[in-house]
Amino acid sequence: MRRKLGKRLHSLLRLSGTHGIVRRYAVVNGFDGALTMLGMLLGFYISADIQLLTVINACLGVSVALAVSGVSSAYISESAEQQQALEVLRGAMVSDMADSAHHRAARVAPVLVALANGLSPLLMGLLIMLPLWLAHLGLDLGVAPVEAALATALLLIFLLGVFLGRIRGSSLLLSGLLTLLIAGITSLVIFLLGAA
Amino acid sequence: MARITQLVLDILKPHHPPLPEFTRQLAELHAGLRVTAEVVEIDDRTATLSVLCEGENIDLEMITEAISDMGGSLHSIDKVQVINDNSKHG
Repeated sequence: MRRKLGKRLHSLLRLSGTHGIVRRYAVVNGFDGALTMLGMLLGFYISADIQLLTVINACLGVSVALAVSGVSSAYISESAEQQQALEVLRGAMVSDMADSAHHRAARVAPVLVALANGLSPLLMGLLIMLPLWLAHLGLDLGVAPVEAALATALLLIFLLGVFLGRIRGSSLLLSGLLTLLIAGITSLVIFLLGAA
Repeated sequence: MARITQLVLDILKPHHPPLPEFTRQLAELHAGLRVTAEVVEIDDRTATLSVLCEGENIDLEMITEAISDMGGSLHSIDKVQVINDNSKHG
């Protein structure tokens, strides 16, 4: 049943030409989410005397905002694209195509694209915040909670790079190191701005 | 009972799903159904096909629904073969 639903959704994504877009949006916005959290955490790291609960609330607020922004912007743009493509096809077919998979795909694909675009930064944010929550619950992490969250962010950024390397068919390690390099440059800029 | 055993259909379809997928989905409607699709004309967004369906008892309604579901439209039924198994006069 689940396999059949998955196959059907995949078929609708293929028909709408969005199966590649879903993956791309998930990775791009996941990377956005992870890098944003890294920036937030570094900002807190170089600031003195910040309460853990303040860090958690700020990071949660940003993650939710990224999710809502991702869902709404992708839905609005993708549904407009799909409707336009369907209209062109309707004209070519001289039919309203109301019972067709193309019509269903034009309605379903924007929702899937929007979910991928919005949920990926939220998921990244929640995973990065995990050490903060654990520390807030009283668990001893062995390191400062913000440092543990920073390490989680860097690990996820590296893994996103590895995933991109797998898609490209290039070296996984090199691809992971490349995204880490971007995170490193971002961190350096934040440190320099913080020092100034 | 009279059974449809052969149909030749004139179909207009979008480029997606591609021809092998379109033909495969039609053939999957019945066990033993043989479907041969030939492109008659093609333009930027659509293709006109001549589709030959051969089987023991072809359900035309089911085929029409499947074509519509894949975004195609049946323009005409160009050939039909029907076999009557009952021998009323025999």
